[in-house]
Amino acid sequence: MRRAAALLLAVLLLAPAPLVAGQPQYWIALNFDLVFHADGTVLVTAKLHPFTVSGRSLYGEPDIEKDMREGWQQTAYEILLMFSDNPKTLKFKVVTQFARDDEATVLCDVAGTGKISRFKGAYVVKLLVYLNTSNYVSRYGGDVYEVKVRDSFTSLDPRSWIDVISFKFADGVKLVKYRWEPSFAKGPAKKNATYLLWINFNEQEAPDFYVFTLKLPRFKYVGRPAEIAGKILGVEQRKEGLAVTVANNSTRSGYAIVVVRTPEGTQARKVWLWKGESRTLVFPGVTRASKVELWSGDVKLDSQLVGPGKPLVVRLNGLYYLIALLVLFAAVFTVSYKVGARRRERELWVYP
Amino acid sequence: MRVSRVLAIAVIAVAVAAPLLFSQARGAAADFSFTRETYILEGRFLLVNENNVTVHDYVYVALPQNTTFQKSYVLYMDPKPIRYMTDEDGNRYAVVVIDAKPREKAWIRVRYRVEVSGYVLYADEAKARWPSLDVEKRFTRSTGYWDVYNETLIRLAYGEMYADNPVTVARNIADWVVKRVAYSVNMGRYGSDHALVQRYGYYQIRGDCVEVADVYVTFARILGLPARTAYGFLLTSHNQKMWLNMSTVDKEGNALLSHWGGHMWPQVYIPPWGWIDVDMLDGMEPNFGIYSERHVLFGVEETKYYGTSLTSSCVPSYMTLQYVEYTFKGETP
Repeated sequence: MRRAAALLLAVLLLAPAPLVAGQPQYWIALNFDLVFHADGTVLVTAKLHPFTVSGRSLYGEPDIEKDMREGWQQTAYEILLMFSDNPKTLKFKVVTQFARDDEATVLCDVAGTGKISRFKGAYVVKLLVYLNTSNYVSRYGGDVYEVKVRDSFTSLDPRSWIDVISFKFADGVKLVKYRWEPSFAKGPAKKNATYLLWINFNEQEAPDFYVFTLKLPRFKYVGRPAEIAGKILGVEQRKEGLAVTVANNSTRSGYAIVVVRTPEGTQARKVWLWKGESRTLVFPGVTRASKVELWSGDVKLDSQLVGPGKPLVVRLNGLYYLIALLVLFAAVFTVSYKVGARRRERELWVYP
Repeated sequence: MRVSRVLAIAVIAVAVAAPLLFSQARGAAADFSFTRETYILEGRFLLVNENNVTVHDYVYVALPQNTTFQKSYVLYMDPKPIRYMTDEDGNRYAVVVIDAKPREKAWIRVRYRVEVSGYVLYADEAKARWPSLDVEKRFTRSTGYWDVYNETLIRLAYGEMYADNPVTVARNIADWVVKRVAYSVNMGRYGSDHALVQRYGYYQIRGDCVEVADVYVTFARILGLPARTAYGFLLTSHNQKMWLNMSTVDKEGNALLSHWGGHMWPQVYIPPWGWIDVDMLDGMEPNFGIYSERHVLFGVEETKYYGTSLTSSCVPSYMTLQYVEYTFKGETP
């Protein structure tokens, strides 16, 4: 459930006007159906129903319907944010932009009293989301993946949550196991091998993340795609650090990350490269790199092993310095003690 | 005689090693000088149930955070929180439950102790490094308010603020931004795309602290410098009362500043020092690594695509927030 115009609540700093008169005082019940397919797509159906806290349905009210129709893109973004930190990195198709479904039922605990109300009718937004570029997917090995689904409403605004969410695992998808975060949230109200249903009475009981281990036999995970194609043109040791020249040899502009790996640690810098552009970046304090890499998205575009370069200047930190001094001192002491002992022995032998 | 010689050598060895050991232990901390202040912070929030039914309301209360430069303690909260929680960006907040009949009013009262270390960082550029790959990826992403793909901002960043050293980058951005602030209290959040405008052939940043911070963070992220926003309060003195009447706040404009110090400012991540504050609106100076003890930090925005509503002090679910008041009592006048 979320309060209408929740996005305007984002700031109470020097812009503290979220709850002023004129803001629509209504709430929206949020019911979601997710169907996972073996190719790594998820069909998401959002069913929304506006109401007042007294329980009066506002479904069909012209002004509110207009508000919600105009706000369909916000709902689409919220759906994408269930699968990624950044909706721009996800591929998706709009199946239903905004439609009325007068026969649908939407469930919600209207005033937080522990009673579920049933509302008839829903505004529907439907998206097909491709998980192959989602950063909420991790590969376990073979065709087994962990897929996280975030309650993006809670993430944005702690008082919002998805009232009802169902997960269906269709055509060859196998649910290996599942969990939810935080652990004190409630588990599913219905569960079987191919279906899970959560009914969340309030935000505290609603999970922030639903986490599934799934077998997805036809899924090919690619991670974040590269924004450009590029290569490392040269690496040069300078007085101020290691200079790395990189080039974007693609027809698109975008970001790449230059990574310099050294025995002392790694430095990375993201850089924008216009199409065809080359640029030299300097990594301060690097006197001996062992490897330089060029990345874009989750794709390594190029790498270069760097030769011995300057000899490594051994810098002992204080502890090592003290240990070295103590070892030296112990050695000197041992030697002098043994010499002294021999002299004592000699003295004893000479003067019995 | 021999024993005393050995002891003398040991003493000399320790004397030689001690300064080195000491300097290592201090590490990057040696580059800071501090000004410390402790506040007792009392707050109260008035909520009213404007609905004509009884509600069981979860109310989310933002808390002062624990950081390298701030230690915070909750001394008192009424009603008692049912739980303390942490959001995706690591910010702690409290959850309070209120049952309220129609038109019933309820107060939430809080008392915190906050120890702030203001600092000046003497940032030697020779020590500065770019971050690790994980940090670079996490804190240079695009978000709804920090659009790092805006080509106008990219051209400006690489044309006027680019440098090889991260400290120089952070300073260049601060110098550029602070000269272009056209301050006015903004009742929404433009995001960097709409905060930076061209007027009479010159760039201006319209809006308030939020817009200035958003523009700074976007430029930093465009140039590969990890950045985020911090939010909380900026006091004008160690003893101060702040208040907001939510029913009149939208009509006040800049007059709001006379009784409210809610604030947002950028931070950048530069090893070996970590997160460094850049509050350009504290005296309208670039202020890279200059952080007064008059800041009280309530949280950071790092990865959330649309920021967070926890920037509000108190977020009810069904009830309406009518009044917010904070009283800061510092130990020094």
